[in-house]
Amino acid sequence: MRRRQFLIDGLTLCTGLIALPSVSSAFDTKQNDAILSAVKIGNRFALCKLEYNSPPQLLELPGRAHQVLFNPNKSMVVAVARRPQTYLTIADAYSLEKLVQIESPKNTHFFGHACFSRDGNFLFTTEQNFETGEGLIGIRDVRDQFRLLQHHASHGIGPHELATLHKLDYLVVANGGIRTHPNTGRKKLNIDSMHPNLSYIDVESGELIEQRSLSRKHHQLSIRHIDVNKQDVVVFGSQQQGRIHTQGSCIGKTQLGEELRLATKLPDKQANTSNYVGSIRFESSGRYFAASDPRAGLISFWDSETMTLVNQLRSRDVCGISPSNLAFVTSSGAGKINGYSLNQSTGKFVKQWSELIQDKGSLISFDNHLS
Amino acid sequence: MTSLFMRHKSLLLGCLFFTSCSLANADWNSFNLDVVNTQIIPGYERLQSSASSLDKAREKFCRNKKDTQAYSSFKNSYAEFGVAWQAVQHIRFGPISYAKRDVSIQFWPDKKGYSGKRIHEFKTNTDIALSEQEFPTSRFSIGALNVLERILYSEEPIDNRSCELLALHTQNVLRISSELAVEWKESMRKQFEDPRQLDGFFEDEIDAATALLKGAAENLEVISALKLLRPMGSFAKKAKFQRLEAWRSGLSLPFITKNLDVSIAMIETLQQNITNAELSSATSILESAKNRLMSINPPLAKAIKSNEQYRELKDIAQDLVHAHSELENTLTKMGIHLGFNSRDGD
Repeated sequence: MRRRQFLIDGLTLCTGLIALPSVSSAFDTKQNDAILSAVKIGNRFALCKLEYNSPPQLLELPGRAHQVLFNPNKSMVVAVARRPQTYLTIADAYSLEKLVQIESPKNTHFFGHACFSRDGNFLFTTEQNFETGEGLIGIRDVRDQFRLLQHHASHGIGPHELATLHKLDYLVVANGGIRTHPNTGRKKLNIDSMHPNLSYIDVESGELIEQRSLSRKHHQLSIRHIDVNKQDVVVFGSQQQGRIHTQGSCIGKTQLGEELRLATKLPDKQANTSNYVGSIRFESSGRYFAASDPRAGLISFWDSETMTLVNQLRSRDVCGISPSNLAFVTSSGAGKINGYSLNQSTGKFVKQWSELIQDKGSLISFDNHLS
Repeated sequence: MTSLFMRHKSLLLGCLFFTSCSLANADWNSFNLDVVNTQIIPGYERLQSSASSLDKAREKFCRNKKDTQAYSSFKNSYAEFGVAWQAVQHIRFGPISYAKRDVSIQFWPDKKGYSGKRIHEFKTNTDIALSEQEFPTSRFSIGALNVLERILYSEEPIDNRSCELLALHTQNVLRISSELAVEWKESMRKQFEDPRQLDGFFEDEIDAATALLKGAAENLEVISALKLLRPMGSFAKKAKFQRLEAWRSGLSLPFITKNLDVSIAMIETLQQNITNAELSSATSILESAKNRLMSINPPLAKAIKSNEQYRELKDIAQDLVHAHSELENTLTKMGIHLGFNSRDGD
């Protein structure tokens, strides 16, 4: 195994978090793999791979990406363009040498998220036909240069994150409900009438198996980020689009055959959130999950069995979350990678280590998601 | 062996940086506490005292609605409270972000006339009866400043029902501003005194400074984009004065001037505490913008319709954009990153 070390900037130690040996050993226990994220460095956008004992490895991208992910056998990485951009960049996972670059078909763009089929042979992406506003799921053949095989309907407007279930050949898709058009940039065009949903779609036929929505009063809660554990429990994080709102209920849970269940609203001073979830991920056991709120600078840890908030911790500009051997790794726009674990005696999550990652002295701003 | 060497090398680098970073942390701490003690806490105290005067003025006027002196004093109290709010409007974190407190004080821009609709609903549906305790969680508690301005500067006489709504709002903002002042003094200040405390509000001194400076920087963006350029539109004849903040009361300009004052004050405090901060460019642009703003003939609703003043205001707005960018660049060099995911997520 290649033993590498992050470029540790002196400032890391100055933050007074964890001394260097612990940092490295903590990171080492995560897994043998690297972690991936889309990043911004100065005015450049790139795909970034971080490995233990190694400087950040970068691949310049045509524009800002959103999610970057490995294929299941970790031989390739895919960077998905942020809306309303139209590229997919596929690179060798080891060298980051670009293998394929794909443009979305005419009149369509990507929404920043993708997932692989369990066998790794197909890539599913959320897309939009911006002339009709129809949400689409693109299906591409990994074995054939990521050739587009077909589009399924996403069964909603503005599909965002999607995932495959473990027990059934279904995709679960967060249709955020927001209509946009490249002519108006990222402007949201239907906030008053938006109607998000979570759709289960048969991978092969594209048939809508089940669709769940929040109650009418929550129609402006755009369901955008999801994760699925091995029992196929789906947790979701939404983003409030209305300006007048109460706090605390933008995280929820469901599974096939069940209604969407929002977490109980917490007392206002506990529910310290801006009603905006940037990313949501289970840890490896599938019981606990973390949700990031970059606007409030908070990472919240939840117990999915009881749907109760375990605790919240501050992390400036945090957004990306990935499961790790400890529990979670997070990334932030302020260039930090943090590791969190569950303290068994207190039952709360604690920060174990933190590193400021730089590229030749320049800040690396980690974009929304971490893989 | 190589790995071990690398580790020691990194540790050594860390040590070399450590002394200067410790000093920097002390500087940030002193900047943070200076801002909290001399700007934020006094700002919330002024908000509380002006809310108290407002509530008293409302009570006096509503007892005798024909008393022109009481009416004038009520309007003055509204203006005083409005200006006090502008001095803390840029603080978007901490106690203000709980329980709809921010939108309860002011809901602006109110693009769909929400406050006007709620006034109409409250006045026409006399079955609506809300206690002081029920009001904060009701849909009528949004936008006290908007409601006060609409009623106080309406051509319609102020009736008893309007006075009932005004009472609910002035009592609510008095309660909120009292809580804000107490919570900042009793708990938020401690967070700044020890920004690294376990389960605290901040990660460290720089995190705390970022929260403060983000407010000062974004304030400039709000003034230029929302308070000036949005109502001004593409040329004077097309300017929409109804998009100005507080256009009914003619307070748009004093509100903006106060916003600018607080950003300048925070930047000056930064300069005083961080000796090598290169802030002179941003400060001089802002001082000049403020002086030019003070030469605009009020009310702003008229000024944006005059070709000459329109051009001047457009220049001022551009200067603020420039100052914002200068400030952000300088702060980045100082290790303060105002945000990436928090400002432009998906």
